[in-house]
Formats: sequence, C-alpha cells, structure tokens
Amino acid sequence: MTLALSIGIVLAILPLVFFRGRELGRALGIEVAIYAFAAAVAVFARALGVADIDIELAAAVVFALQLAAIGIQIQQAKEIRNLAMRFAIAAALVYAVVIPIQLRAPIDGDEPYYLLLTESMVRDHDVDLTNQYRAIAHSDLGRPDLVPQQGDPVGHHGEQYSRHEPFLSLLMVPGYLLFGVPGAIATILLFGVLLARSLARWMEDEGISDQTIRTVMPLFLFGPPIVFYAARVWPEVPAAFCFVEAIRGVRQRRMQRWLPALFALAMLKLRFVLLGVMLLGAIAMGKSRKLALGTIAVLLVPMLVVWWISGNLLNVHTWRELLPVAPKPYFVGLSGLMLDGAAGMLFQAPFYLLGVFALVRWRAMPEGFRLGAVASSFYLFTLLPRAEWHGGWSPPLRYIVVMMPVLALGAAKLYELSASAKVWLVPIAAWTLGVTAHAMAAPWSLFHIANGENATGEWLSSMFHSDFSRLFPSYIRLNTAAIIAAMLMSVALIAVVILSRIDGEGPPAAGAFVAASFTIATALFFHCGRTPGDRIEFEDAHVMHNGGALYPYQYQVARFLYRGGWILKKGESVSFLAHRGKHLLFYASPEQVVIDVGGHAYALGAAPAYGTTFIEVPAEGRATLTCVDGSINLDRMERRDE
Amino acid sequence: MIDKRELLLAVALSVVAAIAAGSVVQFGTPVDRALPFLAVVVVLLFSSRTSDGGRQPTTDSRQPAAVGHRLSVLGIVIPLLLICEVVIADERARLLAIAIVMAVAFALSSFRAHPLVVTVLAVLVLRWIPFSDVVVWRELIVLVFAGAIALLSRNVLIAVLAALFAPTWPIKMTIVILFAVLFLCGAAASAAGRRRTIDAMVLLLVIAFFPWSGLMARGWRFFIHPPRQAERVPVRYPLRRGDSVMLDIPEQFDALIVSGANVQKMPPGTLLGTIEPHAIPIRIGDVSDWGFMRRDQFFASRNIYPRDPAGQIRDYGWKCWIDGAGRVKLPAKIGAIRISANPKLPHDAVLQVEAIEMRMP
Repeated sequence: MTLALSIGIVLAILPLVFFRGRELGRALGIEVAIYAFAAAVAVFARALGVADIDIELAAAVVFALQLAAIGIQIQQAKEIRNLAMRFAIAAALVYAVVIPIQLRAPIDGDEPYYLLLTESMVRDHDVDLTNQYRAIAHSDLGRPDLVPQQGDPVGHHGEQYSRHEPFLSLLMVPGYLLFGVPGAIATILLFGVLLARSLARWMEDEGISDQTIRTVMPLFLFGPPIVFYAARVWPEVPAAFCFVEAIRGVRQRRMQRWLPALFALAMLKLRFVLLGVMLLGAIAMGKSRKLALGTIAVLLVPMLVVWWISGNLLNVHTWRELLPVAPKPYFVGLSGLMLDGAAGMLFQAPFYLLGVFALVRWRAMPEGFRLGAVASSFYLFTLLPRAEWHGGWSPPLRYIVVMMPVLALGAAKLYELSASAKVWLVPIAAWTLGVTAHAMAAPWSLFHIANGENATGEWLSSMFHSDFSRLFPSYIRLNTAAIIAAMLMSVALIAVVILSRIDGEGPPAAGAFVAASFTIATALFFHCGRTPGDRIEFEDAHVMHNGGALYPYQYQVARFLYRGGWILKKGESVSFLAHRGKHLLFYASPEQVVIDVGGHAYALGAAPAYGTTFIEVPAEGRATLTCVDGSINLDRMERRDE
Repeated sequence: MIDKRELLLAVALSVVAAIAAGSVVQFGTPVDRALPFLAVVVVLLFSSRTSDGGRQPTTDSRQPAAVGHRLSVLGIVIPLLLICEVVIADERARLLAIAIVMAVAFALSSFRAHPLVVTVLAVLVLRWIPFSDVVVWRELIVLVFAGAIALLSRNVLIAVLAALFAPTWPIKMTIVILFAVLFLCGAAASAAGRRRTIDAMVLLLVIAFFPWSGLMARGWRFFIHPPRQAERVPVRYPLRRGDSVMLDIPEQFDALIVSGANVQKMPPGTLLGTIEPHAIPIRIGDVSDWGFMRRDQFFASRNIYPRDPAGQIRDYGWKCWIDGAGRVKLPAKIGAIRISANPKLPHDAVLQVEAIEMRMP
C-alpha cells in the first residue's frame, strides 16, 4: 500500500516537472483519466465475473502506461526549457520508486558481493570478507546463503577478498552509513540521475534537436536496461555516466572533465580500461604526448589497486583474453547481443537497435557518436568471443549498458534523419513499455538461466506444452531462428543503407509494412508455436516432466558452459510434442539404460561422455519417453528423416 | 476521408488482418468468432482521417509521416488482439482484454478519424455481434440514424449512445427516438464537439465492455448494482396460480432465489406470491420475469431490474442479457417454509423457485 501510494505521488509530481499552464492541466487530466479507466475496469470486471487477473501485472501496466502517457506529452509539448535538469529530476523520482519495486525480489548476481564489500569497509575498514562470510546470517543483505564466488582471490594469510573491484563499494559507503542497503542502492540512483542530465546535455552538445531529445530520453531513462540497472547494485550505470562524461570532455577538450571520468571508469571495473584505451587515441591525437602518458598512468592506477588486493595485475583475468580467437564466437556474440531472445537488444531493449542501424549511416552521425563507437570497439571486440557475452546471472544486456548512451545518441540522430525510424519507433516504444511493465511486476524475471529460452518463450511453452522457445533466436544455445534472425538483420542493415537515399517518400508504406509484418509474424508465431519442432531440448519448459531433475542444477556457476539436460531414473518419464519418424537422441548415461518411446523399448549402452542413438517416434503429436531401467541424462533429440 | 493510395493500403491491411485474426481464433463465443471483423474495424479506424473543414487537426494527419505513424500503430493493436485471443484462457478475462484493446483503438482514433467512420464502426461493434442474430434491416435503420446524428452533431459519443440505447423492437419507436435525438443534435450542433477528451473517455468505457453491450443497453443498472453470488442449492420448482410448495431451509441458508415467467407485462409492486410463516411477499421488483431483458422482450416489458439481483449473465454482444432472478431474504433459522403463488396471477404466469442460497461469507 505504501509502495502504491509512493508511485501515485511520484506520478502526480512528474507532470509538474515538465509542464506548465494548459499542458500541465492536460497531463494531470490524462493521468486521472487513466486511473479512472483502470478503476472502472477493475470494478466492472469483478462484477462481470472476470477472475483471472494478475493484480501485480495490472498495476505494473498502469504504472508503465502512465509513464508512457507522460513521455508522449513530453514529446508533444510546445517547448520545455532546461531539459537536462528536468530529465534528471524525473529520473530521480521514477528510480526512487523503482528501487522498492525491484527490492521485492532478493538482490542477486554480483549485487550482494558489492554490498558485502561495502559492509566490510564500514564495519572493519578493510576489504577482507572472511568475517563477513562467517557472520553472514547477521548481515543486512538478506542473503544468508552467500558464500565466496568461485575464483575469488585468497590472501597469504587466508584473507578472503572479492573478485570485484572495490571502488563501487567505496562509493556506496556514505549511502550505506546513512540508510543501510537502500541507501547504498540510492548511490546508484544518484548516478542514474547524473547520467540522465549528462546524456541530455551531450545530445544538446551534438546538435540533436529539443524535440528529438524529448522523444528519446523517456525511452532511455524509463526503459530497459537503464531503469533496472539504475535501481540495482551494478557498476554499469555509474560507468555509463563516466563514459559519457569522458567522451564529452574529450569532445570539449576539457581535461578536468575527461580525466576524472576516465579514472573513475577504470576504477569501477577493470574491463572498462578498454574503453579508456581507445579514447586515449583521440586524446593523444588532439593533445601532447606528455598528456597521453599521464592518461596511461591514470588508467594504470586501478590495475595497481587490483594488484595490491589480489596479487594479480588483471585480477581474475588474463592477457590472453585480449587476443583474437576464431571468427565464430565473434559472430555468436555480436548477433547475440543484438538479437538473442533472452539477452539481446531486439527483445530486451529494441530502442538501442536504432543505434546499431545508425552505424551504417556513419558519416551522417554526430562526431560524439562516432567517437563513442570507436571508443567502444576494443571493449566490444574482447567481449564478443567470451562465453559469457550475455552477462551471466544478471539483468539482460549487462556488459553493454555502458555503451547505451552512445547507442541512444545514434538512435536520436537516426530518428531525426529518417522518417522510417520515426515509424518504427511506435512498435519499439510499445515493446519497451511491455518489457518494463513485466519486469516491474516480476523483478525476479530479470535474472534468467542462460539455457536458450527466455521468459516469454517459457511462459507460452508451459501454457501450451508446445515449444515456443524455439521461435526466439538463441545464440546461447544456437538454433535455426538465430540463423534466420542474423540473415534478416543483415538484410535490414543493407535496406537501411538503400532506403536512406529514398527516405521521406515511404512513411505510409513503411507504416503499412510495420503493421502487416507484425500482424503476420504474430499469427505465424502462434501457428508454428503450437506445432512440433524438429529438435527437442528435454530441459525446456514445453516438455512435461513426470519426475527427474534438471542438469546441471539451476544455480550452477557458469551454467552456460554445460550441455543442459534432464536426468531420468527408473520409472520417470518426459512427454513432448514431436514429429513422427526417426530422431537422433543425444544422451549421457553412466550405465546401460532401457528407455521406452511409444511402446518401443531401446537398450542403450553406457555413455559417460555424450552418446547418440536413433529412436523412432511412432505417431505425430505427443510422445512419451520413459526410463524403464537405469538412469539417463537426456540432452536433446533431433529429427533425422533421411 | 481517404486518398487512393491509402485506400489500397487499407484494403490490403484489412485482408492481412482478417486472415491473421481468423487463423488464431480458437474459442467459440460470438466475440472470439468476430475477431477477424474486429481486426478489420481497427484497420479502418486507423486508415480513416478527418475532413471536417479545419475544426480538427487535418493538416498534420494528411502528411505522409503522420499516415505512416498511424498505420504503424496497427502493428501494435492487431497483434495485441491476436495475443489476447491466444494466451488468455479464461473466457471473460479474454473478452475483456480484447474489448480494452478495441476501446483504446477507438479512443485514440476518435480524436482524428472522421466522426461518421468512428460512429458506424462503433455501432457495428456494439450491435452487430453476434452476426447470426442481426435483423439487418432494423439494424441498418439504427446505423443510418447514428451516422446522421454523427454528421449533424460531429459528436461521436452522442451518436453511439443514441444507437446503443435504441431498441430493435418496436422499430417505429426506435425511429421516433432517433429522430428526436437527431433534431436535438441539429438544434445544439454549435455546442457539440467541444469536450473531445471527455467524449473519448466515455467512448473508451463504452467500447471496453462491448462483449456485454446488450447488458449495457438494457441492464445498465447491472454496472451499478451487480448481482452477488453465493453457494446455491437448485430447487427449480415452478408454481402456477394458487400452487404452493414446502421447503426445509437448512440453518446456513438465508435466501431464496426466485424469478417469474410470463410476467413481463406486470408493473413493479405486483404480488407474485408469499412465503409463510412470516407472510413475506414476493413482488415484481423483488424479482422479474426471467427473460425480460432479452433484446426482443425488453421494450414491451414493464418489469424493472430486481432490487437484490441474483441473475446470471447470459450470451455475449448485443444478445447479452441477465436473467431476472431476484433474492428474497429469509429470517435466520426459519426452518420449514411454504411458498405460495398468488391465486390472482394470469393462467400462464409462473413463479419460479430457482434455488436456496447460503449465507454470504
């Protein structure tokens, strides 16, 4: 109730930040109208006997709709002065209510470790976490299950250090001292506010019009991933702020701006040094060699700090990670960051895809965008081939949050240049609203095991017991949809180049194209989703599990490095939709095992490493695979008709 | 209202939308079956634009960018209709979700689309579902009048409300009522069309419940005073004039659910029967004719919505109605009762004892 009241107050104040006079009256009127409509629907729906309503989701949708309505009015307002400051205030207000919304789920991933380090700094004035882990039950974190992370550095005298750089924890100390854990998270909020102001200023500096800034800023601030990372304990939002300030400083040739920003950026996380390295080139080109050397020294400081704590200049990393590898991981990482159903921009934050499309209109883009893109290139180059390109156990897009302001600037410029981009912004905004509302209603859904499925796919699969997840591109567990999506993306990038020459003629056709393609895609999606797939992954949500266990277990560290599966013991079974005919079964078994598929028994030899065997599905539709004797780890099953 | 190129786009989009919607229909209610029609309605709403000579922002809406924007909104609205149909299994929740999507589409387009187009489409949505039940010539008369009111008043809401509350039977009365509204609109034309936001809000609310449009039109009191439902034990005992029946009322039961049959012409207050031992009267007003709210019976009926309603919603769309069952409260621990039908009732009138109801938790 307190939370609902706080949200109501924030939403009531928000129009006051942006509007005056008649525009203010209209904004408040629309806000009241949305509440009135929602209340009327709630009351009458109850009277009509509508029972199946998810109250939390409905409330989150109303919240997101209110934000969207305010965003639309900001875009349509005649004139709003001092945009940067107003957006900063708006960000502060909204993030202040997003924090308690997010805290309904326990802090997760790396978050508790940063906070534990803060706690250690406050209480013991050191970075040794040994006693913190020992007394973890008495910690304020609400995570009594916390143990050291795999590979955390251990000191000569048994000190237990965190693998995470201590700067973020240090920044959170004042907040923690004042208000405990919420105060520490408020520190990140503060950086979110600074980022809002800084990005709006940067856009103004780069010549983006006021109206465009008013259009894109709400999507940036109140849409994923910023709205979630600004309300959680990750170094990504502070880093994004520092990155923007560093680029702005370089563009303005103001050392007092870029030097501390670069220093803080590198201190936050060692990997961000790679961003600084590329910016260094620009600094060296514009300034003296002496200054460049000074900058190198600044970038070395964090490495020395890390060396002092962990005894290794690169902390848990190695120089080898910087070397190029085979091309495939680059393709997987790059396509995944753009298109993956669980961890890519297309589904998690589609607005930033406009920034990717902006890259193909390089020459028309502002210099700041080009500098930011070049500065990000080395970082991206080292990120793409990593097995953990998707961010691991974190909210989506973790590793590229730092680049989001650059992509937002590109998106803003593309929006100005291209009438088609304006048309595409409508469905993009709607999808963004949906993602935001969903994550507000279910904050725990921001964390998803990297198993090739995503929240939507899982939800539909378990509802229909049919494989909807396969229709979402997955680069974590490469599927056909991923290959098709990558090809379509390439075609789209080429189309943008071609259309840029004839843009301005096509909005009605572009609008019709958007409408028709989304309509057809939705109908096809539901049609195909309810038919059997050619490949069955046995751990997926569409498979009905009659006993058995997930392999490896859900919270296995670096789970994405394993071939997932479902372990069956004698008498347990799985049921799934499959095509009739011959299938190749991938399995592992420590012993001989007998399985039954549609009345046919198969005796399979022991396969401690993974083995394969052909099985026959006797009829189209639902099939059941039963473990008759022994135990088996079922990996997947692929249709082989030849 | 629409140029040649846009017309072609609208036709193409309508075909695509109808086929896509048809392909996902998986339930049998009239609203589900009408999904392709609803998809086409949405396309037409967003393809139409105003031509009212400068009173509305026509200049912007005719620019190619604005047309593109409008059409791209369809890329959200139609998929949303499809998604609602497929993913929401609960029947009433699904129909409500579909209706909300339609309502938002109507509210958004009411600011920009031609009033005639919005009115005609709204009337079609409110009165032409289920199609199998439409008496075309009667409904066409209503449609023509609604269109005329919209053109004259340039106010969609007045036209839609007039059409919503116009009875289908008797049509002569309908024509008289609609003529009166038309005349009033003509007289007050200069004052109409000012509070567009409020109009859009009311339209939003009306369309948001279109799967129950018949109920809105004929049983609007339902939305103020909906029936409560507690656990019931069916009795289903019809009493003709002078008949009576004995019932044992268990301790946890405290109400009798009663309705009438062939009593729709009786005015409120008419005695239908009594309950002994306390001589509790059962009158029209406490209960009503079971089917008095049906489309073809409503206008001729003199019954009113029961004071303590206990009926159930039946059917969807314009055919939707609520039966006239009412709740008669019984004193606590009354034990055995005798229900007697009034001996002065007409020979075909029946007092229907439908159920006994448990105490509300």
